[in-house]
Amino acid sequence: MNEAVDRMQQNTKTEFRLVGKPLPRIDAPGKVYGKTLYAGDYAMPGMLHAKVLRSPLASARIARLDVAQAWQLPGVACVLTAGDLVNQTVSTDFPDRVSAKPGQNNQPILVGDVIRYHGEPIALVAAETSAIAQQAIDLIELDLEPVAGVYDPFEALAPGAPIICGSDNIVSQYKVRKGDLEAGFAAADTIIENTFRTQFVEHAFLEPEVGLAWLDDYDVVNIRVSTQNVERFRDVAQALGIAHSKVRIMGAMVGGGFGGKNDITVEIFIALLAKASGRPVRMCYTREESFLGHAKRHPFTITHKTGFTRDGKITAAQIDMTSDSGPYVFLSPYVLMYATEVAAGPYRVDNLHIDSRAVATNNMYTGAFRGFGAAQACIAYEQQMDEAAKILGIDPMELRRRNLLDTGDATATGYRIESAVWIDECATRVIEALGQRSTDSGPIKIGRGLAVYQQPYGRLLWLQDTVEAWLSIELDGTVLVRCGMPDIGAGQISTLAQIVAEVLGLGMDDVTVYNSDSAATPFAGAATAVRGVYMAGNAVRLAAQAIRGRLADRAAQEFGARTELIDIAEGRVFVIDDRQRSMALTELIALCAADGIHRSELAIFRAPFGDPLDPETGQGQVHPDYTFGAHAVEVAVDTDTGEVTVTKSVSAHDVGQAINMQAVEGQIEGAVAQGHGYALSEELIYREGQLVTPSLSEFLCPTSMDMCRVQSIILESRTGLGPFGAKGASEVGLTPAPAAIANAVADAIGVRIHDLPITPEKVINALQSKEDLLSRSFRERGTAGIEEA
Amino acid sequence: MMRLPYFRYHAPTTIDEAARILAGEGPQAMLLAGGTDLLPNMKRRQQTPHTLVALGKIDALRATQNGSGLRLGAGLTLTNLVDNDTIRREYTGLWQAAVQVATPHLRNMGTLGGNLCLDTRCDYYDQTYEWRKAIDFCMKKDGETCWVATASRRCMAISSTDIAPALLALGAQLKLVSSTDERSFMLDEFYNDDGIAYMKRRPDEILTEVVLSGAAGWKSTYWKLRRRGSFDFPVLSVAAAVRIAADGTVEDARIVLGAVASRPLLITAAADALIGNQLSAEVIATAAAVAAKRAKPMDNADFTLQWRKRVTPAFVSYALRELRGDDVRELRRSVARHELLA
Ligand SMILES: Cc1cc2nc3c(=O)[nH]c(=O)nc-3n(C[C@H](O)[C@H](O)[C@H](O)COP(=O)(O)OP(=O)(O)OC[C@H]3O[C@@H](n4cnc5c(N)ncnc54)[C@H](O)[C@@H]3O)c2cc1C
Ligand code: SF4
Repeated sequence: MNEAVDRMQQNTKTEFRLVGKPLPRIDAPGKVYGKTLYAGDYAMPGMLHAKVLRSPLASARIARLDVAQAWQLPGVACVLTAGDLVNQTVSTDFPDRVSAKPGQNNQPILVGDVIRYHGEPIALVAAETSAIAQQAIDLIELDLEPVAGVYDPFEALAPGAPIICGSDNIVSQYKVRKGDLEAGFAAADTIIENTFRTQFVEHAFLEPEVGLAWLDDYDVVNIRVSTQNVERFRDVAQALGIAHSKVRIMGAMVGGGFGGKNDITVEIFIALLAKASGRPVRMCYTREESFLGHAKRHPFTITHKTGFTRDGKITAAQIDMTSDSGPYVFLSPYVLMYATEVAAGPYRVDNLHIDSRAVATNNMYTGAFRGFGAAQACIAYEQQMDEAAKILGIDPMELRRRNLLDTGDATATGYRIESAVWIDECATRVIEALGQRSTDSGPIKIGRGLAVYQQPYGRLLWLQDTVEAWLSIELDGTVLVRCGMPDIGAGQISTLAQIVAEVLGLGMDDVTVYNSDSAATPFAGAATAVRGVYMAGNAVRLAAQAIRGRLADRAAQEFGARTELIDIAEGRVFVIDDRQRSMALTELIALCAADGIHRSELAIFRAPFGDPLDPETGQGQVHPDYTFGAHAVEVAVDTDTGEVTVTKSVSAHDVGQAINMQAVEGQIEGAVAQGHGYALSEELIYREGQLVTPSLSEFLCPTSMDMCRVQSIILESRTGLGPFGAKGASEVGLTPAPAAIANAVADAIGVRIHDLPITPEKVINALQSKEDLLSRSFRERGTAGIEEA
Repeated sequence: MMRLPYFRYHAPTTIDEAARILAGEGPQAMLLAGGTDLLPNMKRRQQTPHTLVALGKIDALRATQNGSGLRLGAGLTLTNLVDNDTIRREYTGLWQAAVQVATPHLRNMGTLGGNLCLDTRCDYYDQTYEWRKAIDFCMKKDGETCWVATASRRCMAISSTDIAPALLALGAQLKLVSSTDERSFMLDEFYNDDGIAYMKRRPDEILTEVVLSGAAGWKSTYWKLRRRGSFDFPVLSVAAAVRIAADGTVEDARIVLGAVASRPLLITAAADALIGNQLSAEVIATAAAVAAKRAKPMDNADFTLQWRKRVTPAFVSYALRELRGDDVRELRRSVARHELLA
């Protein structure tokens, strides 16, 4: 352990009043009683309803587009196509990115000529009712000429492939060069090579995309929308060709985002229609539209070639990663960066080559999804470790232990980790928690699997991340917080309230948080990248500390005591070693007010800034810090039907410091369920770019009948960069779960399925090929034979 | 939200009145029971009736009569069936089928009659209007071609009802009433192997009742294969019923496969393999192999068809092992995520 960890660990002795306690979230009652207003609950007098015409084909040219009949339908207020737009395209990059080259990452707002994916928007209609709007959409005449497309990233890289994006379909690429790869492989006793594939996945948030736009009396375009990122107001302004300050985005409680509401959804459409019609315009996607309307999780193909010594030490690793970006850039370069950064896993690899690329195709565009590339990387590196363990004859955990990173060790990009690395602790706990191994019975075979991970939190250092928060203390001792951070159901605002209440010695009820409003709350960026508690939590903590400092100074003066000896709790201010000297907090505030002391504070928290990685070696620091942990499962595989049942699922993470224990558990359990779905059943299938699993009856999220109880184990090293030593905890439950399940299935049936999801068909096919390998004659007996239990 | 098209709505209170309205409206009218199949289909414009005749106000359709056998009104909800102790104890296969339909909410609305008349399903058909239009409509609705087998002259959409196979194994009879006549069918004769004309019901007929004979001496079971432990339609199901003598010899048997054709398939040859024998491993294996040969699933449901075919013999053997008295709880948990103990 290094000095930084030692220093932080001294905090471990500090007792918190509220932090760490499983307090009821302040947003819970509203949700339980159905009082919470979501973006879709807002309506305005004279409001129009809007619909989008989307491309039925994935790759085509618009030969004819005629909206005359749609315009003539009674009740239609407005029809827009590309020809009506001031600006044809809009940036798909982060809206607060100051270093981006303009125009580099743009996508059309409405397609005027070339269609590049199934579902791409072509025209907009606003009408008196949504039924009329839909009728008008049906009246739009659209003739398409199919254009040869490309639907596989490897085909897109081949010479002669249709070019979808840039000059060669390569949306972005990275390399890492470290040590001497050849020497590393030469020193290996065994070299193991495997290719793993992951699929397109849908976020399937409960609340589909929805928003309402209107112009106010200052001609400001106001938008109330379900979003993870109110700073998309800049994109809306760009699209409309108006000043940034003439667009205001207000969020609402979000009914789930998981990364899918980080990009623009309906904002630009309703803003354009509101501006054109002069009336408020509402748009709400159907579930099927939602499937077509937002970015999916990137499918990855990842090849690991790893050299090991006989006793299980990694001598070298060569890793190749290809992701499918769809036709536009969106966040593909960032997702790829995360995947590359952690490609080798939390292991010491001195001789390492990584090559990665995101490739354009005519499949759906891809973007942010819980785990953000690091999850896909984990699926590969953790399966590779198990394959190695099997070949080397070393216990999977022991093999990992022999290679694990520790504090002070260099990651793949050469950054020396400063916080605690409690992977071993987490892994030991999850294995222990599985308890006695169940026994096989008849066709049911039991398997166990483990996976550990390294997940970044916060943003890339070269995005210069900051959050501002404003806080004021009222005359009655209650507090108002303003901070732009959206609450996407993860408990963001409740957690901020808890932090403020802790610092100021108040109760949770004494704190009211205003958030997610680009005009009225200080900028806090997106509720993504596991930065809510880390960034916004630090900002509100700084603001609260500043106010507390001023209150304490004034109290110290009043009591004639040193400022450090002043404490505030339960509405009273007192001297720590002489509690007789005390007064009501309201009295102190009155004194401050009478003296003209500032009772509010605007604080800024800056994450560490840094330069991009060296383009030749891929060395440097990518993220401020990482969360580490482990997942273990037991599965029962029916070898007759191939069905996999996860019977035990244990998830352990060093979250640094849980701010609200219950909220952290909620995040972990939800993420684990998503991980189960990712591993076993969820898959969006595109055939020639056409989505053939277009609804929730084909895209199969686990139901309550399919989920086992999830046990979450929360460790607290207090070594994170968040408030009170917190690390990120909202994505991590997902990251290792799929690999743990894949490893368990391989353990149960003795053969590995390299492609997610692990469907019963794949299990049966894998068993079949294993049988084929074992004995050809067995196969001759046919497939209909039944083995008796 | 996807919207319903406009339609006229009648809510009669007697069977006679309903039959009269139906006859008057002609084939453009459809019956509405729980609506859990019809209304989503209307939203996707798979079915576009001009008039709906709702059955919800007809009390006579919700009667249950328990005499030497069991008479079940077509308007009973699936939850009613699940909660019925006689069904659970004596017609266990029916109970196991009912309890595995969809989800609790859908079972609260969905009825017995609606389930037996459930539209056939297909990956190319159960999609939104826009989706179907994009790939061009298929033969079952608005189009010419079958996308599952372009050379096929008939639609091969799948019979996806859970209740029909279970009732077929129990030898159930149906009663249909129209303004002009009443007809009875053995359930086996009610269905056609045709994805479009999948039942013999005339548009003017109302299914009023299901009649089961006494269950004395019979044991029945139902095994359903689906993706998840809830929600999903069957992609393969096995319903089996046997009458076993004191010495373990099978005296009578019925084996039915569901979701592998446009109708539930009664596999007499598989039952014949059991009759006169005890349910030994070999006998079960033979019956399973015979049944599996008849399973000819098409590639139009979730799960690949090779796999559905491959799993069929295992499923038949699971069902027969349960009827023999084996402890199959572990298998049930794996397959149904539920032990389904009667
Ligand atoms: C998500 C989902 C999952 C489902 N899963 C399953 C499943 O796993 N297994 C399964 O079997 N079903 C499933 N269903 C289908 C459906 O819910 C059930 O089959 C239900 O029992 C249908 O009954 P209903 O009363 O709702 O039928 P309705 O939708 O009212 O009617 C269905 C059809 O039957 C006709 N009809 C209804 N009553 C009569 C009558 N008395 N006489 C003549 N015709 C009549 C209607 O005109 C219509 O054509 C599912 C549905 C959904 C939406
Ligand atoms: S089987 Fe063929 S005709 Fe029938 S619904 Fe499917 S695609 Fe259409």
